Order: sequence, then structure tokens, then C-alpha cells
Amino acid sequence: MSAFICLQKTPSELPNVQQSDGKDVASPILLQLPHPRTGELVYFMLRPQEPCLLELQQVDGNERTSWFIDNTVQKDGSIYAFSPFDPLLLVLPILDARRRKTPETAGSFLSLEDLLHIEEHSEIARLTAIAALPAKLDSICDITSPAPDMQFFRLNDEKVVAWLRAKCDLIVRKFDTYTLLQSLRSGEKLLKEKQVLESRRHVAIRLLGDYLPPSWIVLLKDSYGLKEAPVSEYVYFENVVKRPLANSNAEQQSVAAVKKAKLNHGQRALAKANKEGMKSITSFFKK
Amino acid sequence: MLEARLAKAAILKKLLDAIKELVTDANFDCNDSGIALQAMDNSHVALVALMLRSQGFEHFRCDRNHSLGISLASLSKVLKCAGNDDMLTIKSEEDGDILQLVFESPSSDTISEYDLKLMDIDSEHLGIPDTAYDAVVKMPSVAFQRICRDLSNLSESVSIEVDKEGIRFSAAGEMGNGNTRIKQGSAVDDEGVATTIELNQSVNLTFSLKYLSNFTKATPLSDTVSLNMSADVPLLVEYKVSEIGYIRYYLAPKIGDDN
Repeated sequence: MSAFICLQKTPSELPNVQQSDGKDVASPILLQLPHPRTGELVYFMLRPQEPCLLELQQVDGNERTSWFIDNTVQKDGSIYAFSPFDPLLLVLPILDARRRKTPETAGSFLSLEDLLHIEEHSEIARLTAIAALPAKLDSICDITSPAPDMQFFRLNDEKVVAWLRAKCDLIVRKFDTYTLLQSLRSGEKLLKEKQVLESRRHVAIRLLGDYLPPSWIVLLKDSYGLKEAPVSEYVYFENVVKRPLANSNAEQQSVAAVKKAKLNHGQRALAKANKEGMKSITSFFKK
Repeated sequence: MLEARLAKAAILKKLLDAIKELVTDANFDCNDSGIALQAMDNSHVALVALMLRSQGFEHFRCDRNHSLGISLASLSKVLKCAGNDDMLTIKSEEDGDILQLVFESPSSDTISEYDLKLMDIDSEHLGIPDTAYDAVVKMPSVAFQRICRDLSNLSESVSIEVDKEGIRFSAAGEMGNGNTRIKQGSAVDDEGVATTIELNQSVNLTFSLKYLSNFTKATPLSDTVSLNMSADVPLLVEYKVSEIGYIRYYLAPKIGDDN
């Protein structure tokens, strides 16, 4: 990830990407945050103007491509797409884990700073830079405010389901406008109106489910009274869009692992040999 | 295209056994003078160089230089399908991605053909200078193999000392120490392969026994092994392969290790 060239739909504001070393968010920064469903670190962009949080996705990352730019070659020619991302999806698993809900109690209230302070993922704390975040949290949390300027949050299951239903309904309402879903719509001609709605809801939940821990998907389906849909109705986008992992050399590592597994008896013995005081053979023989 | 025929598949089988424990994949570089291979082990402290001269083949034709990237484990598996006395022919088109191997039984009534997929292997070719070594010891390969195996029980490393009297291998470990000394001109066994030493200067070097033991996988290729040593340069262990060529192993010495 040495250089980004950003093309925006609205070219009035040019994003100027920096690595996340500055404290304030005066300009867009790249963050590595745990993906809400898988927990693996993926890239997000945080910027001062709305929409504040953008998800970074690598499109067609399997193709090996490069770009010629003037007289230079950009080695990694992958195309990255930034798309607006609801920060609530990111904090949902955190809120869920931190409230310590038990069958007896609904869990504890915590301040935003406490909630977003996570040892292993210190970058999550940067989400506090999103000014509208406390207001947004109102849609999924109970909030107490013992004093002005002090707000404590606790996740509320009913609110979460209502919020997810709202998202789901929005997708269903706009279903006809999504070109990616064209192939699905063509199969709906033979279905009754009610079946169409149900099938579209399944698709919408499946889309949302990409960004949700599985337990919420169950709750959401229950709220609609939907049963497990047959697999054939699902749309899989994974083959089109690949999330760039924070660990960009994961592929190389797996290749190395495969190679290691291929070592035969003699090579394993040599791998264990004590090579103290032995210089590399390349230091004796020149290329 | 490349087309090369060996009277006996056994030679290539043995060669593969001698390198596949050291190297996983390698490029076989072919040109009109023969087939050569050079590869380093994973840790880059040892190097193996193989040469098969075109004159040593029954038939050899190579129109243009090209290199065949081969998984040695795969080639070894295919060669297991050949009988020792089978006549072996290898063929490859210049821009093809397979190596064809044909095994013909001595009576010519059984012919087996195998196609092996080639691979792209990045490798750096090192220039190895002709060195006048201070000490060149020729000794029975079986004796060298035995000494490496015996001393491996004691220690990870062996110090090899050559003077005009003879060559001495010694190893010291936690349980004790041991050494083997072979006098110049003496035949270790009745077969009569004598140990000869050409000496400019006495040397005393230390090497990893695991690596030396690995090199002795080439023992079936030759009755004699030659150990070429100079202070502070890699040891050269050479096995001549009948009339056709050689297999050479280079190993970096251990420096600052007196054990």
C-alpha cells in the first residue's frame, strides 16, 4: 500500500490520505479496525466531513495489475473502493461484549471513551472523532446522563433489532434500484407478492449479515418471522469484492507454510542444524 | 528442443537421491555442453552443483539454452517408476511446460512414458571461482560416510584437520569426544581405494555434521570422494559421477567455533 490515487464521485474535496500517526482528524486517515463479523483487521478511512467512516474494499484483487503513471510504475494496480460505512455496525459487537449482560441484569452503562478503549485494537478509540456518534448511538442504546456533558451507554436489544429492521426495510424499498440484484429480480416473476417480499427480506438480511455477528442475524430473522432461506436465494458478493486484510502478506505467509510442509526428512534435519558461525554461501561466491 | 538419453536410469535416480534432501526445487540448465544444476539449501549455507556433460549421454541434443524448473520430489517420484537398468530418455520442447521421461526396459519390450509438469523457479546463479585449495584429500566415499555418521552421535560439528601425515576428523560433545584418523596412502578396506592427500598447507576447519551427513547421500554415485579445503573458504565435497560428470557440494565453515 505505498500510494493511493483517489478518484471521487464529487471532486470538490480531494482526500489526502495519510497513515494514522496524527492525533486529530484534520485530514482523512486509514485505520485498521476489526471487521464486525469476522473480527479480522480490515482498513477503514476516517475523515472529518460526513460521511465520516468509509470502508475500503479491494475490487478484483486476484488480478495482478499495475499502472503506468507518467514515467513511473505503480506496482500494485488493485482498485480500492471507499464506501460510506455506518459506524454503529463497527461498535455493535463492542457494545455487546462490554455491557456484560446476564439473564438477571441488562448489563452496565459505560462512557463512550471506556467503550472504545480496547487494548488490542487501540485504533478503535479514534472513532470518538466522529462527532455524530453519540447521537447515532441513541438508535441502538439506552443512554443515561447523570450530569450534562456526561453520557453513559448500554446496548438495548429491542432498539438494535428495530434499527436493523429499518436498514433491512430500506434495502427492500430500494430493491428495484440495485443493479447488482438484477439477476434476482428476474426470478421473481412467478412468485406471489408476499413471497417476493419474503425473498427480498432474505436477501437484505444476507447483505446486512456480511457486517453482523451471526447472533444478531438470528434475532433479526425472528423479528420478521422468517425461517432459514434455501441457500440458492442467497447472493454472494465475496467473489466480486475482497476486503483487503490489514496483514497484507498473509498470502505470502500461507505460501511459506505450504513450502515448509513439503520439507522432506533430510531438509528437516538440516533445518535443525546448528548454523552458528556459518556465513551464507553467497558471501563467498558472487553473483 | 532437448533430447538426452542415458543408458541406465540408475545414474539419474542416484543423483536425485543425492540432492533432493538438500534442495526442494531447482532449475536444470541445459545447453549443448550438457545439463547443469546449481542450488542452495534453504538456509543458504550450502550449495550443490551438478554437471552432466553431453559426452556422457548415449545421445544428446540441445538446440538452444533453456532451463527446466523441476520439483525434485516430483521428479524423484517419477524416477521411482524406472528400473535401474532401464534406458532413460528425457525430452522437452523449448517453450513447453512439461518434461517427458521415457523408460525402456533392457529387453525393449516395455516402454513407459511420463510427463512431468515444469515450474517457474526464481534462482540466482552464483559464480564459483576455480580455487587452488590448500588441502585436497581423496578418500573412499564409504569411509567418509561412516565417519560422518559415527561422529554425528557425539556432536553437531566436526573439525577436520589435514597435515602431511593424514586427515583427522574429531568431534567433542557433552557425552565425550572421539576422533578418526586416516593415514595418507592407506587403504581403509580391502577394495583398495587409497586415501591420498595433496597438501600446500595444513588446515584445520570445523563443519556442521548434519550438512556433511546430508552430502553423503551421494555415496552410491562414486567410490571416491574428494574433500577440498582452504582456511576460511567453503569446503568442497566432490563426487565424480562415472564418466558423465560430477556432483559438488559447498559448505561454509564454522568460524569461531572450536567444538
